Amino acid sequence: MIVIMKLGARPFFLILTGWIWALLIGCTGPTAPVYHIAVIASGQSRLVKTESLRQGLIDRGYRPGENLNITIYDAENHGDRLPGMVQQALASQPDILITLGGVETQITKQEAQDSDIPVVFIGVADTVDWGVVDSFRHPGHNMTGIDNGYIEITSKRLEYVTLLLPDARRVLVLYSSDIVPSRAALAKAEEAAPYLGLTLSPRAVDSVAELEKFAAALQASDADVILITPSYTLENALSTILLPAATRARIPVIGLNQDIVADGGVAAYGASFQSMGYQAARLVDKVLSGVPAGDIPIEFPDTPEFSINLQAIEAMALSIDPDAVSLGDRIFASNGAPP
Amino acid sequence: MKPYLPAWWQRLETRMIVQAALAALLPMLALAAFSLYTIYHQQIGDAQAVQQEMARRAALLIESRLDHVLFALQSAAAAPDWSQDRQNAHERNLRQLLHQLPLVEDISLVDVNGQEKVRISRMCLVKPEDLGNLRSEASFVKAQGGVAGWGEATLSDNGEPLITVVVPRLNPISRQRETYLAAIVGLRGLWDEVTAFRVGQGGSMYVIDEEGRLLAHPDYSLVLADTNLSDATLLKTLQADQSLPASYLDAWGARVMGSAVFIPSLRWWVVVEQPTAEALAPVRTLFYWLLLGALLAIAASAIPGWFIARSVTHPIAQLSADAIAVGQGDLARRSSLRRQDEIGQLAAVFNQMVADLQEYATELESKVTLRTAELQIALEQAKEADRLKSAFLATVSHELRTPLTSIKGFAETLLSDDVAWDEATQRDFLRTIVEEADKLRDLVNQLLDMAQLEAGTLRLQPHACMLSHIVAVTLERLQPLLGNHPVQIDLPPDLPPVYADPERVIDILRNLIENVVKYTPQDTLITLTARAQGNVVQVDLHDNGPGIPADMLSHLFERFARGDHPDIPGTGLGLTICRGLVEAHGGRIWAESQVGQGATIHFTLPV
Repeated sequence: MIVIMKLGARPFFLILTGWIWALLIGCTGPTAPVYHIAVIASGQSRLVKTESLRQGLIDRGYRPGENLNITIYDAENHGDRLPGMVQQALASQPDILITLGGVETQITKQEAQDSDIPVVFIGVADTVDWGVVDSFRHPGHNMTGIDNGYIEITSKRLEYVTLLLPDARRVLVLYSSDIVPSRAALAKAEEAAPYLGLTLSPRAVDSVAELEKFAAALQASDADVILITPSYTLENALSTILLPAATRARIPVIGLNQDIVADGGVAAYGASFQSMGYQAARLVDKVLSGVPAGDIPIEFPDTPEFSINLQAIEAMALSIDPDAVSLGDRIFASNGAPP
Repeated sequence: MKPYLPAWWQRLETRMIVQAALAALLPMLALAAFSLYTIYHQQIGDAQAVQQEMARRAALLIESRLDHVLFALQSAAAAPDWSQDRQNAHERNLRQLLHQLPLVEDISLVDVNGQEKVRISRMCLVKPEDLGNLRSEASFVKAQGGVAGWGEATLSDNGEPLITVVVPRLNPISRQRETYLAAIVGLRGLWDEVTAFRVGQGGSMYVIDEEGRLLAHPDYSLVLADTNLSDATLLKTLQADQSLPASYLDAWGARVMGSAVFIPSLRWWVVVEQPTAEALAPVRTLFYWLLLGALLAIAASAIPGWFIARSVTHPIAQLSADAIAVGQGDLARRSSLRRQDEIGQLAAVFNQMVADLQEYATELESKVTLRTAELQIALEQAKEADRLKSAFLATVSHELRTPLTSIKGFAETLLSDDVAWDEATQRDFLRTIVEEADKLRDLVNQLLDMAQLEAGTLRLQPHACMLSHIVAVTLERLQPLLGNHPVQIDLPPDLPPVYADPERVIDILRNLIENVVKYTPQDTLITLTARAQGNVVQVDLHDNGPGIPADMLSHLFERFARGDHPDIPGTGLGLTICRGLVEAHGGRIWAESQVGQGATIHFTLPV
């Protein structure tokens, strides 16, 4: 008090100002953190997942450029670049690593086994049997993500082949022999084919060169339908190599999801890359909130969609069952756009 | 024991500021408490009402979506072609139905025994060996009773929540149950819609079954993880058919407010919860504003309170400082306060008191100085008296020893056997012995007289007597002592007789004349005169000696006062005895002298 008396009335105003500032500072709260996300992509075709993931995160309150930075490491269809890119991404110390497919996830798991950076994969098939995670409910390995269910659904794709193309009997199944989910999908197809009266012709395509070679010889094929299995080699080169050749050979291509149909495929059954990317935003949000990735159960995509490309069907003058068209969830009209 | 009060609280200024702040704060606190209490309860009521309405809407949404599936199945079951045994047609119909019902994962045609005849799955090709029997399913048992019913919610291998519904198909003619349509409904698509209900920022809506299994939650991972809330306070309260408390801990330990609505057909609870802090945010905001208001009120009242307190305490502090200065001895200190109020009056009284105090102090100091001087004089006198007494003792001892020595010497001489003294010599010796004995007697008499005078026991025998006779007797007795000192007597003939003890008057005159003889040279004239003055006779004894110094003159009649004449024998009591004897007669004695012009001793005797 003696000091106050000596200072006069000034201390009262200083204290009052301090109270007001303290209240204002208390109301503003701590500074929000800025998250850094690194995305590993094997090729361009999968980056659509990143766009929907980005939108999902925006819908969950993140603001790219402000509190969220997304860095994309694209191998541009060169699988041999992926390990280096994963290392590069790890060196940037992101808060989370996003992998956009099976091969990216497999390589990231190998390269990041000594890292504590969580991994969220988007659209990986057969994750448990492949050994990517321990179980759906408790994935472990500091990983979680979206299992696209593409293996189980393979038999359903064949069923839709018989419904849409009732005259089809010979199905050429393209797969990558070095990719476990691709082989698993082939096995599922082989298991279902007898029940559907189909004959399968498996064809391993392990590189773009092999795919080009296959496409070049497609005119001479006697296949009624080509069925695609999960493989980054096939997916990334589909629109540029396989689909043009298949169209010329008038062999319909049945793909994994609507993205193939949009690029010229005749039909597909499965969840879209977009939906999986958007769905993964929920998991990314949870990991960023501090929950260990390995404790977050694996999610499956929303309801798969049966997509039909009428333009491709017309272009190839295919004979289809109109009733099957009525089962389509997403119909691409003859002008090439969804109705 | 006095209670401890901190020093800052003991300051008047502090207490006045606090009292001013409290005076402004207390009414505001009372108003704030009332406002907070009212708004708190209103906010709880409003929040619970909103939550209840949202839960009710969500329950209606769930029921309507599932009813849609149920009605679609019932409508499909009513179609006539189910009775025909056409596998392909059944498959086509089921595919169409599955396509129309996006919530349905699998749909099958079931016979009366529960055996699936055809099943279409959304996820895979159903092979004949995959067909199962539903007779143990609760939904099938219900359907056997003729009522389309829902089974219990289960989780798929992937953790997705599912529920089975079975719808009986009655034969249009016999009205007997001839087949059933069964569907496995995936609830995830429904939950995305239900859990999209938002309650504030942190609120959530979720669904649990009677066993506490979490079927829907905005955090879908919790559903996939097969979370069970059977131990949660919420479910226990609901199962006890009690209303939820205003605030409670949810299954994840957060304090929330919530409401729940039961769906009887599914036996599910739709729960809406919101963090209590968020639900009561308006109350908290109001609290902060009131707190800010209180702080401002404190400041707004404390600042003028401080000025008021300062206007009171500052002059008091000044006055206190003045008082402390006065207390430390600065009696010249005065308060500089010039006010017309009570404090000004206090300052004036203070100044007056200090002025009085200063005056008293000055007076006291003067008295002390005076008393000190007097004491110093007394001390000096006492020292002088002591010195005189010592000198007196030495003198008396000497005066006593001298005649005794003579008497003893002459007596021993007369008694000596070895010398034969003639008679004349013996008589001289004896005369000398007598004279010395007389000296001893006179000295002893003087001492006795002095003792009697001081003790007040001297007895006079006064009577009217003629001074001339007394003077004559005195001179006769002193004749041997006078030597060459001429004496001139001048007594008027009409001098009245004095009323005195003649022997004592003789003693007075003898002492006075002996002093003159001792202290004046030979041939010094001694003049004795007397005159009547009123009722007394004044006797003046004058000599033409060297006179008495002024410093001795004032002590002349004091005991043992002998001046600076250590070589002249005497006790220093003669004049003191004279003064005692004169005063014993009621007279007065004094001396007048100027050095070099002789001295005069005056005394009076009553007539």
